[in-house]
Amino acid sequence: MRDRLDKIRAQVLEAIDSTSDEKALEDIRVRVLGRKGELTLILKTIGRLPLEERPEIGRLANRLKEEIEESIRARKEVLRRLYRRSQIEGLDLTLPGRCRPLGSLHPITQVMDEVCYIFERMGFTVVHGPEIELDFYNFEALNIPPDHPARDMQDTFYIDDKVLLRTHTSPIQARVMETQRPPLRIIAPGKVYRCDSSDTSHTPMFHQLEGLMVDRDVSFAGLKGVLTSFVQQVFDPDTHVRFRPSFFPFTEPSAEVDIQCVMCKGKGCRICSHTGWLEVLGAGMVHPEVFRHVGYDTERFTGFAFGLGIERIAMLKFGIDDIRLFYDNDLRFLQQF
Amino acid sequence: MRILTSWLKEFVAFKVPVKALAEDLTMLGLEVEEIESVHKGLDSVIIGHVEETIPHPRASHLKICRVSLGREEVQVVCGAPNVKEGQLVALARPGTVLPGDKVIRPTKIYGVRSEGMLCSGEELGIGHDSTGILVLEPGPGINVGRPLIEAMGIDDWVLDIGVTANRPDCLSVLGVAREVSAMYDIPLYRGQGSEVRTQGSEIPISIENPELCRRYAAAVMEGVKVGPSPDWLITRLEASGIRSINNVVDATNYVLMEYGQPLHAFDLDRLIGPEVMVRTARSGETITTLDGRERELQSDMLVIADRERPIAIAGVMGGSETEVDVDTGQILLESAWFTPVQIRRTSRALKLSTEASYRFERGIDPNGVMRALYRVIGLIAQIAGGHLVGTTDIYPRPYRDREVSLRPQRANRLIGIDIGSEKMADLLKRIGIKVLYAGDKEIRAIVPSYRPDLKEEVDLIEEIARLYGFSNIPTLAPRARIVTQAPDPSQGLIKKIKNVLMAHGMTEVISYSFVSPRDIDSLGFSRDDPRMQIVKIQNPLSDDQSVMRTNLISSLMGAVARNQAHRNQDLALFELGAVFYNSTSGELPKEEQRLALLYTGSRHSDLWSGPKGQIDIFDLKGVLEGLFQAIRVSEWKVVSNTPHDPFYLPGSSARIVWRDGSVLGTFGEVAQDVLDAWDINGPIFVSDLSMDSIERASCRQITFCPLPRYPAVERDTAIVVSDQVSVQDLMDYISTKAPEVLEGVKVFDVYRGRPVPEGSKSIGLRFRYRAPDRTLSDQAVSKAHRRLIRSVLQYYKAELRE
Ligand SMILES: [Zn+2]
Repeated sequence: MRDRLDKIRAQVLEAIDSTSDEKALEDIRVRVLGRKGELTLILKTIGRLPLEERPEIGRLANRLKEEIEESIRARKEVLRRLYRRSQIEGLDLTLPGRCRPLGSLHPITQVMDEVCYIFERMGFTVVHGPEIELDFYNFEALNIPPDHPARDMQDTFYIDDKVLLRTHTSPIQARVMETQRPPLRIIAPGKVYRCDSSDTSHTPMFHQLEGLMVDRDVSFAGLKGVLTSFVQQVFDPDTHVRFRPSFFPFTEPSAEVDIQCVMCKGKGCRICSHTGWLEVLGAGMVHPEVFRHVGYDTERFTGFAFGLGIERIAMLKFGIDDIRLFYDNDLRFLQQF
Repeated sequence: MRILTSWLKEFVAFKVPVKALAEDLTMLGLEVEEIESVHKGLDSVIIGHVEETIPHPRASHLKICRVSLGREEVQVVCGAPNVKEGQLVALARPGTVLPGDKVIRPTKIYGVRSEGMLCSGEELGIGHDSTGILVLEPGPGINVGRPLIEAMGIDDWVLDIGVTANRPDCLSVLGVAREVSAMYDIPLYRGQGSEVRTQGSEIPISIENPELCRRYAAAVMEGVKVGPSPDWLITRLEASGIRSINNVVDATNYVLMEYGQPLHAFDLDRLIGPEVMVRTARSGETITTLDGRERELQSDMLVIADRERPIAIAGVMGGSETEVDVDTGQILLESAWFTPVQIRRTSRALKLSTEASYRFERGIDPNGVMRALYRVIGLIAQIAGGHLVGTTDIYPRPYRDREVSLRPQRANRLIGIDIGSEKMADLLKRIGIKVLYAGDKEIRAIVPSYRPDLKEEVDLIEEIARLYGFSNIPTLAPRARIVTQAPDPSQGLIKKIKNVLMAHGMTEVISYSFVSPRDIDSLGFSRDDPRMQIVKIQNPLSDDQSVMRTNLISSLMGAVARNQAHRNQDLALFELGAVFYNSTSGELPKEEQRLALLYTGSRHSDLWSGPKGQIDIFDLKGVLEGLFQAIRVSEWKVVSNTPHDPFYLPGSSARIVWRDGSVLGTFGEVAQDVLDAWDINGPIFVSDLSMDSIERASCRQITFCPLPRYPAVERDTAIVVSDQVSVQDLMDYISTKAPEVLEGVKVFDVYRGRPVPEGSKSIGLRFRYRAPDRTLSDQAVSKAHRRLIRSVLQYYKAELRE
């Protein structure tokens, strides 16, 4: 009888360990521990054994029963875990997540924000002015009288004889200086308009940022400092910058600021017309005539002003070769930024 | 301004290569935009030595030549009769582009390989002999293997210089030469010539308006033979961008380019009188200008007239009736100084800009008038024969020297350098400024007559900065006081709005501020709508961009049209920008910042999970709710939009009203008429918001609320009400009846259909109760809730939904 129990034990425990689902386990339980199960029958027949064998066989059989029950329970637990794992195995984590697709900000907005941020860190404050502007602020207050050839530099959209679409953000300079005294550190971002037909580098509307710093001892050397720092922040810390003399009626001395071509690193390419340089800013010391217009004492105060085209910077940063793309509002373009 | 380096060299002997010259001029303020070789394409024309010639086996007039280029030998087939062994010749290698765009390629001539071409002087554009190939005399530099142009020392370049509006003096070879001379501190050869007054000619000349014509000089020449110009002159004019007409006209243009003084030649025999009068035009006068167009003259235009009629528009263009042509024998040459503003007005009024008017309106050298006249007389005598009869110089308002003073200390401070007054004076002298006195406190100087831009101290400071070199000026942190100015709050708000909308999946667009009047019309505004107060542009580029937009909706419609054309159907767009209205008050039209949102297409169509289906109005309203929450606009509600904006589908739009009654904006579905007008597919949902109102409603002050200490209790109740009752109504009513412990109510479900009777809807509401000072008991909540619900049911004659 003892041999029989040992044999059952070996067979059943092995069978339990090799089950792969709960049903097979249940089958084993029924076969061994069920009403007519092998072990149940043995337990039922213990009474028929010789008296001296009964206690020991009974003990062994009951221990085996417990052992099998425990094994089934343990195996059931194992099977449950395996089952969960197999469910996870069907999971494809390469499927996209359940996310609301992001929109995008216009590249001009992004570059404008970045440019403003750089100047704001240098202590400049953002101010705004009207897009439809008086001839006075757009030209005369900036030392561009009527019939001055400098008006040719900017083809102007007129509303009437005295009112026009601002051709630059510079009129904000005059507007701010009319109401505020130095020290001044302002930047004025916004849309500007020129009566230019569209091509790959012109659109009749574009964005500029104007800057102005006025105090008692502002010099051209300081202008170089601020703009060099700006250019190296917006492009690359190693960007070579050069200032060369130019002409704007409202600044003197006036400068044009070039950076070494970002495409060819100064070797000369189509983008930089083989000069190795790209013009990115216009700047200069505020012309005394502009100060006189707003009643600043030209002996006490000096200042510098600068202006830059946002589209130009965006095109260089992103490698865009056609400015018109900014205003086509084509999603295939806008969503790249 | 196109300047030939060979021409420049006649004035100033600079030694640097052309690239360095261009770079240096650019850094001096004369931006060289392009450098162009006059012998473009001839880089691979190399000096060769003819080693051997053998007759071509199949063509008796051709020779097969073995040509040494020093390191290598090539074989070319040549048909020139003069080719001989031992000659130094010009070999155009493959890749050469000869004048006339003839490209040299390796080829086979009657079966014999030919790797290039031996050229004649004419073929190369450097000589006129076409009878045979160019044979070079041995000499210094003429070495086998060298590029021909370089070896002959005839390399010549056109510098295309962008001359700024303040520097009319640089619109000439002389002017650029002056800058080169100043830059390298080397002498200028010509241009200082003294004026020689000669006998007056017989022709009476008078100036009626000396305020418009400061100086008028004329010369009479006779025996002139009008014909083609010599090649060297044509070459220079063409390189400068001027077409050759005949020798007399070309001579005037040549001197114009050289000295910057516009000149004009009249056929003297065709002048009535002959007499010359500088006067304003009389009413009704017309003139046919050299370009063949008849032009009506205004009484404020200055003309040159003979006894009876205008013969030229002063400073702009001559008349065709007195034009110099092959029959001309006697000429009258004009060299004058006209008032810049006068010429500019005339040129603009006639929409006629010429080399002459361009210079006059910027200001030419009043003291250069005679110099140029003598130069052109000499040139005409040289190339067209003839001799001078006499000259006249009427100069009613002589130029007076202008004295400008400068404080060295001021210059140093403004520039940010520290140089002495001696050094400054030296720099100024280099550009022709006569320094009268140079002390530590002051430099007094007389500026040259050709520099109308030098008027005050700062003009001299600029010259010092420029000549000192911008790159020599230090780069420093600015010396200025810190400015404490809080940023404009709208700036932060705008940034936040844009970011929130982007996070909601919306893409920002920027459209032109000008639109077509049809775009505004498409929205169907009534005539008295402020959005029909359209600001028109006087000089638009096209009708499509001829008025300023009065709303952003049409801009977004345009964006939809363009995107649908590219099959972008699912769109979530916004634009934030100015719109413009005519206004009777104020000097300027009214400008208003607005924000517009647009949704169309399907919801997340490209996602494998998540809500699907067509976008509807609640997708848009959800974005608005999220936006208002983010920018802290609370206590707004939606009211019916009556009368509704005409671009909305009737009955499907609403107004958003803030607690003070101000309208933040509207939202709704776009009307079919609008979709049809733009030829776009709907449904499209838009919202149009006023940035001013939003900014006012946006709360910038955040006040902390202590956290609740006691738990809340919720009760869900569904009420069946008539379809006519809006949720807003219901909420408003509940708020009037709310017990103190009601913290909030939310709609969690809306249901129509069985078993809810037709014409009614079931609204599921979740009520949240809480007391700040105690835990509410179940009974207390139930009691308060029951009372509230009973009142709602009574008021709306509604029922509970079981
Ligand atoms: Zn480049």
